[in-house]
Amino acid sequence: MNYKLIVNNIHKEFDTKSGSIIAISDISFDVKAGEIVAIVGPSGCGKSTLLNIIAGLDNPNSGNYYFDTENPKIAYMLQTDALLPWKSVLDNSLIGLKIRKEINEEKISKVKNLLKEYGLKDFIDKKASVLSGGMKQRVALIRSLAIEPDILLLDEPFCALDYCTRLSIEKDVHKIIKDSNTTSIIITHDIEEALNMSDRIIVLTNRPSVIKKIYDLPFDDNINRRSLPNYETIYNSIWEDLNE
Amino acid sequence: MNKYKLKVAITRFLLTSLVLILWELGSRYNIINSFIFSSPSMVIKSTINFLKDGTLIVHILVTLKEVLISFVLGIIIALIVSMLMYMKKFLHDVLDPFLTILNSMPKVALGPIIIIWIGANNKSIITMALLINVIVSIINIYTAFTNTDENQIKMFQSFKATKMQIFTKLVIPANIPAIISSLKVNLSLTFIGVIMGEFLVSKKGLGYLILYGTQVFNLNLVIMGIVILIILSYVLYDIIVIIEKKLPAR
Repeated sequence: MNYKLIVNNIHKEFDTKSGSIIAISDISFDVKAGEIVAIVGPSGCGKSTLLNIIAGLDNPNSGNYYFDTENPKIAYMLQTDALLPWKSVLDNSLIGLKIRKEINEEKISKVKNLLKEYGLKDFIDKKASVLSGGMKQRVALIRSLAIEPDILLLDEPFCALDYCTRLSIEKDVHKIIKDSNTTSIIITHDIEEALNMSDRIIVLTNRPSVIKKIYDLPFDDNINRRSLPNYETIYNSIWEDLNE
Repeated sequence: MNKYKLKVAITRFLLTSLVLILWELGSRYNIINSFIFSSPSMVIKSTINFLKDGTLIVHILVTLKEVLISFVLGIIIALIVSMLMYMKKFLHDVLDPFLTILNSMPKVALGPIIIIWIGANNKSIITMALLINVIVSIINIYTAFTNTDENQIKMFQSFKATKMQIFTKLVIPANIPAIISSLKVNLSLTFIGVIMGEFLVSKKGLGYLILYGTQVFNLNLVIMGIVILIILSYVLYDIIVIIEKKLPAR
């Protein structure tokens, strides 16, 4: 099997005034190339901590993780779009490439095409501040994909959006990720979001977080998952896992 | 200009005219003592005389030069120190209590020491102005830097940006409005510092003119100095506002 990421026994503790708190304990899983894995868990269970560790923004107390390449390109999509409002949509989309000094004409043209393809054609030269919430998240995703990442990490990327925008953007983001065949990990506390967007769901328990269960989703990418008979069954099962 | 703005401008003009007319009439008909309170016409006369003999321009230029040097130096020092404090936590932790102490200290108390150390010249005036403007600017700019959106910083870090890249490509541009607002505060503090310095040690400048006017009981001179100071600070403040408007909207 062609694995993109292998996570082994990650353990993370935080020192607080009232003593040490275990955020995540003994977490192990793997992510295959091109796969979208959703990590679901209650609020505050350490999902973001796990993602920060994989992104290299935090260190575990013990355990380790390996990518299939020595210097993996990691893109991180946050809970907020984190766009720079004084820059144009195009400049925002190119910021990762500029920081990594990988910018060239070919990549600029690729980013422009992505913006055009996903409904941002008329906004390419406009300031990011004029975009709607859903558009901003699309730009944030294109910014992440512009660097052609080995893995894309999404930290509850739609939690700031209203329900209708979230449904439509979920669909768009899922399509963009699948089209680009980018290996991704999405963390969320929304079971529906995990069911609609991923190939596999890892359910975490409350803190100290351990893996409760892993669901391999038997869904095809191109059909409306909600209409499938086992959608509700899996939904209910995850719901029970989270509420035990 | 829309109707509302025109109304505001006319009301301001009428209010100012009313005060000046009442002041002039009060002085002419001895309702107020013109020796103590002067009058608009006497101030204008005095201004014309000082302009004719060329002394007023010299005083204005001396103060303007001291203000500009102190202002530019103050903002450069504040930007460099804030940047170093932001980049090096150690430096911030070392300097923090000193900045707090210096900020709460009445800087005018240092005036006599500055004159002894630096001498009775305009370097002392600039030092006085710097002491007053630089600490507040450092605190304001550093605080703005630390309030940069954490998510934007995290986004930069996720692309493996260096500290310098984060500072130059994110922290500085994100805080342009805060830096501009610090320039405005810095400007008024610089005027306070320069005039205070000129009160203590100078033979030229608007502060000297005001102090001299008070000593010889020439209130025309005092009020003329104050009015010119107001005009000068208003013009410089307006230049900052024009620069602010020219910058891309945040």
